[in-house]
Formats: sequence, structure tokens, C-alpha cells
Amino acid sequence: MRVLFVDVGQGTCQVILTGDRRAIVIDTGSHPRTVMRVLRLFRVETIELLCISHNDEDHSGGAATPRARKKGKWKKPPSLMMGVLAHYQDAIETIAFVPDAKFAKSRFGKYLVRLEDEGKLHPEQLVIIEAQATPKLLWESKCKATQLAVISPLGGTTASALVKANANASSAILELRHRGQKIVFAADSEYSQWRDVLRLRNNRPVECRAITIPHHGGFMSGKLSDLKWFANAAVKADIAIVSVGTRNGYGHPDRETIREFAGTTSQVCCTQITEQCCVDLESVRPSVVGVPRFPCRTSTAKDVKRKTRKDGSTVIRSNNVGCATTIEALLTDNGIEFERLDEHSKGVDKLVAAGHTPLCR
Amino acid sequence: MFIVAPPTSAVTHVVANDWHAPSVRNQDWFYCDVTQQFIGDFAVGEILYRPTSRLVGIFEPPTPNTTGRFSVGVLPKLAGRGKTIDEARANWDLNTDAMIQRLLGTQDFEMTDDDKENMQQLSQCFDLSEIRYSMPLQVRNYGKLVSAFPRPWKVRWIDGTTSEVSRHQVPAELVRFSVGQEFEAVIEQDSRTGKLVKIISVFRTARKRISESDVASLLSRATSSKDLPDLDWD
Repeated sequence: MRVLFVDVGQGTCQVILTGDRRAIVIDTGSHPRTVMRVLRLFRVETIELLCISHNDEDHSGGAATPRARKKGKWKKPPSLMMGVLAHYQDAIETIAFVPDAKFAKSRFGKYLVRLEDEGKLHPEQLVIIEAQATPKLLWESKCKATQLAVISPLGGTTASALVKANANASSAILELRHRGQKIVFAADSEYSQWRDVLRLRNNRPVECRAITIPHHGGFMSGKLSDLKWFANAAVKADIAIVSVGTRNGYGHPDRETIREFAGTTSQVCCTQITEQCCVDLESVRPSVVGVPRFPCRTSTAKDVKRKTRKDGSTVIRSNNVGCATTIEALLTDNGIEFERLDEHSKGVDKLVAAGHTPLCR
Repeated sequence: MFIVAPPTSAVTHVVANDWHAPSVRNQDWFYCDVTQQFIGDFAVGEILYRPTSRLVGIFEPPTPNTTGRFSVGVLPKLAGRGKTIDEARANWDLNTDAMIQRLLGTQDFEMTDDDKENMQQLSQCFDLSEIRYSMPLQVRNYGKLVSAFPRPWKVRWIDGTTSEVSRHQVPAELVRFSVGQEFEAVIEQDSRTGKLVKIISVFRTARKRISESDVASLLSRATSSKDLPDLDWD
């Protein structure tokens, strides 16, 4: 199997290609364009499992209808494409999601109702991820070598978060288990969830091959001590992946978060690079690793806006400049192997040599 | 067509089609061979295959016990069958298309040794990445007809964008729609630019407003993760 941590810009999307033109999709990014390109280009015909970790737009936006364009806001119209639910409406086996406070008003939730009305979806295909006390088996491969487990939300603080307007604190945390190794998909989870997990694990850290740093490497609600605990005691990962867009308005990734993970044994890889790491983004375009190997949100030189100030100087605003871009992992008989990380490491070395200060070094 | 004995010096193989080219016809030394054919660009359906190197196909004429066989030396496992070279070549085109499309849909971790060998041989003859990325995407969309004949047809899609389409880009069904009709469409889109290529099919639809109570009703009938099998923490 192949796991793709898709570069969808500011958002999260993972695609697990399970073979025989089937795939599992975990979150879909904010717009369907990239996830649909990945699925169609790999000739995926059936979605075995669509899992939406929580109903924030940057995770569920690619599942249903794209957000309507606000008048005058977008100069370049988004591509004309319905989401994963629309295109695979007759070929989705299971849909798992968290019924947080945003679900009833979300386009994703309403689209599920529409599909049921049209007879294309049966309620038995829906799995509501609710608070529980033990990991639950969400999916298993035919040979039983690979499993996808839900480890959160759990009973306790996260259960109450389900009824509050805090979708992040009830994000579904998933573990892909393969031959004794794991990949953890942490979505936008918060420290409270991880404290619940560690409590039930008798404070044994979650050891994994890779983890997606929660909240796009951004600040999770808590203190610096919480961050240090999370990066050093709660999770022990070889690779820490950050799904972040170049020009996000949230300041992601958080400098302290990246430095804390980089200070452990983890290799930190961001899908896109931000100005925190490199001031001259156009010199790095299309990406730090060179030409992207898979469809990703990383765009061409057309995604550059130049503005001339009154004093004659030009301001360049770059968007969607790749760092590691879409990251690939292969699930083999020997375990989980990541591809192209050496290229990312060499690319970051070049940035350092050029005088930039990437956060992961 | 006729065959002459080739000279002992360098020989130029001439495709039957090239026979009519004056520069070839006026050569002092050449011969015409009806059992060979250069393979240039060829289309199967909407997909155009461009060989990256010059391929020569060889046709073995039929015998009383076998049909004719068309094959290319660098692709030994692909063969086309037919009574004539043209028929066998057409069959070869179809078989090549079928094999390439099957392999493009097969992940490398599920390929057999034969598949890997075929993939390697085909990648030497065709730019498979280009074929993969040049195939247009077929996706669904919801739209509303906002302008119709005699004005240009305009469709406003659900995300607020508007497409102006010509008659050649729309199915006949859309021509019968009146302005304001909402519909679901299957559209073809350029996989690189996202530009609309054409609208393949349309279905009338009346979009119902979904309320929060409808969503709550669906939730009450869905299954729960609490019913899923338990796992250990590690």
C-alpha cells in the first residue's frame, strides 16, 4: 500500500492507496481540486473509507460542494469540481466522521442528507466516531497486516468538546498500524485529547514511524510546558509531518512547535514552505525537493502576485511554494518506508547554505 | 506495391505510406516492404499515443493454420492479430491501449514481475507520465443555466463560477433546458489547468434546501464507532 500525505496547501489530506483501484481518504483539504486530481490520476474507482476527522473547512472542504465564491474576492476562479462525495457517490463503502457542533451546519453534513434522499447512500454506511474508552478498529486489510484504528475522541474532556463549538478538541485521531509500526494522523487534536490517550496508555508514549503534527504545526491551546510534554513525552516519532500552506493567515507552523520536534529525534517535513523559513520564496519554487512527483497544491510561477508600491518598489507575495510537497510512504513486508526524505534533507541543507533559517534546523 | 531485391549497400526501409513522397520515390536505391510499418502517433478513442522512439512493426502474413500477426520488436509481448497488416495493426493498437491503461491503474506494489517488465518496456517506447496526465478528468458538478440560445450558453456552477460554452461542448439535452434550470452534470476537465473541456451529460435536478433537523435525523439512523471491534493500545 502507499500512503500519500497530499500537499493541499493550508489543509490536511491523506490518501491511502490500498490496491485494486481502491483507496482510503482521511480528510480532503479545503477544496476538492487536489484530492480529486490524486484520486483520478491514480485511477481510483472505489473509496473504501472516507474519514473526516472534524468539520473545519480545511479538512472537510473537499468532501462536498466547494465554497461559493464571494463576489469580487477571487480573481482566479477555482476549478469546477465537486468533492469526493459527489464524484464517488455510488462507490463509497464507508464514511466515518465526528458529529461535532459544526456538523449539522456543514456542507459535508448536508451533502450526506442529499445523497440519502437520492438513494445513493444508506445510513448503515455512516460511522459516527463517538467518545469511547478503547481504540476501535475502523478498517482492516484483507491480509490483516494493516489496520486503521481510532484512538480519539475518548470519554472525558473530549466528550464534552463534542457539544461545544470547538471542533479541534474532538478531532478524530487515527493510527495506521502495519507490521508493528504506526503512522498517526493527529488532525487538529489538542493537548486535552492526548492527555486522555496517555492516561489510558498508563503514560506510555505513542511510538510511531510518523505523525502529522496537530493543527498544521500551529499553536495548540495550552502552554509551552504542554508543548514540551507532547513533543518529548507523549509522542516519539521518527518523522513529523506538517501540512501547511505558504500563505496561511494563521502564522502556521508555530516556531516553537517545529523547534521542539526538531530537537527530538524526529525529522520534520512541511508540505509547503513559509516565509518563516525562507524570505525569498520565488528562488525555491516549485519546491525545496525540486519538481513535485505527485499532484499537489504547489503551483507554478502564476501563483505569484506582484504589487508596486507608491515609492516604486515591488512587493512579491508568493503562494503555494512546496517544501517536501506530497510525502509518500510505502507499506512493505519490512514495515513503513518513507520516500524522498533524503532529497528534502538535501534541499534544506541548500537553504541553510544560501543563508536562510529553516525552522527544522 | 512491389518488392525489389535490396542492394548490398545501406537500405532505406520505406513505409507504404511514404511511397508517395517524392523525395523517397526518387531515390536510386530503396525497396518497399508491405510486411513492415513505422508506428507513428496513433489514437485509440480520445487518447493519443506518441511513441518516443521510432518503432517498426513487423507483420507475419497469415497461414492456413494461423491468422496474421503484427508485433514490434521492443514490445515482444504485445501482438495484434488480423488477416491483413492494417487489420492486425488496428488490433495491436487496441491491445497496446488496453495494456497501458491497465498498468496505469495498477500500483507498483501490486504489479507482478510480468507487469513490471511490460511497464519498463512500454516506458521506453511511450511517455507514460504524459499519457497519465494528459487524460482529461471526468468529474461531477452542479450547475444552473443562466443564459441560453440565441445568447451564448452560460452555466453558473455551484461554486459561483460561470462558464460560457459553445454548442459543441454541450450535449443535446442541455439545449432543451430553459434558463434557470438546475442540473447535475458530468464534465470533462483538463487535468493540468482545470479548464472545462466539455459537458458530457446533464441531469435535471431540483435542489432541496437541507435543514439542520434533516442532518440530525440522518445522524440518529447512522451506526456508531462504539460498535466497532476493540483493539489494544499497541
